[in-house]
Amino acid sequence: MEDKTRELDRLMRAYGDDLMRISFVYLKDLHLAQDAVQDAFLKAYNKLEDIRERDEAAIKSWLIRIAVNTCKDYRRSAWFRRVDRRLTPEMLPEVAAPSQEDKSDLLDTVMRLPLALRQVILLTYYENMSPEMAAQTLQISRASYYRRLNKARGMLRINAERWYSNA
Amino acid sequence: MHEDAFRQALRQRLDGVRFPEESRLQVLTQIKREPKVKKKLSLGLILAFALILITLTVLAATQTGLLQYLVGSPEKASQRAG
Repeated sequence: MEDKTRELDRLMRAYGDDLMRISFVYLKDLHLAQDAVQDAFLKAYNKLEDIRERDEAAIKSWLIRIAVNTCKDYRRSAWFRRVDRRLTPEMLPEVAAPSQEDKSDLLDTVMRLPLALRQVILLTYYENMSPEMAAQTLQISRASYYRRLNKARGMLRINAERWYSNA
Repeated sequence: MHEDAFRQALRQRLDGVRFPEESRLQVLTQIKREPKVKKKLSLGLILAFALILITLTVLAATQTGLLQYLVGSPEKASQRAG
């Protein structure tokens, strides 16, 4: 296996799951998310020279940016817009560990948020990205990032009051 | 504290979403199958080719007397001007 292929393989093993989660939150469809992540890695393969000197956090952010842009392309397609994208409980992935019932529809609530807010929630609470890194990944200003985060927090507090009050 | 509970619940819910092994292998297969893209000609190379072509044409025209036939000799040209 040549160096470039080996490096891509390493990236897929290290960040494949993260990219899958982001794409899933973006596209609301596991199979489509899978395709988008594959496409994202193929795009990344052709640009691997760009990240030679970067640290791991920057590489991860770069990969997420590629995945987000790929998902945007998918969403722009006429086919995507025609299909009903409302999420039903059966479409949600199996939980890794058994959880309390009142927490099981958390993802569903997050998924109902507008896309721009969903992204911010995922990068902040799932990927644990710093505001700077999240804003850079989403190619938005820090002010926009905070605006979206506050709005999402506000909306989740209303919709997800059960979890907050039970926590 | 509330944020931590939310973070934990979100993590628990999304941990089931994974990039499958077969998808990873598919990407690797696709890379191997992808044909090598032919390198595009650079602008400099195109200009160099054009320059060589023009030089050769001029050279050929001068050698065969075609240029003199078309333009005429300098004496004839000055006669025509006078």
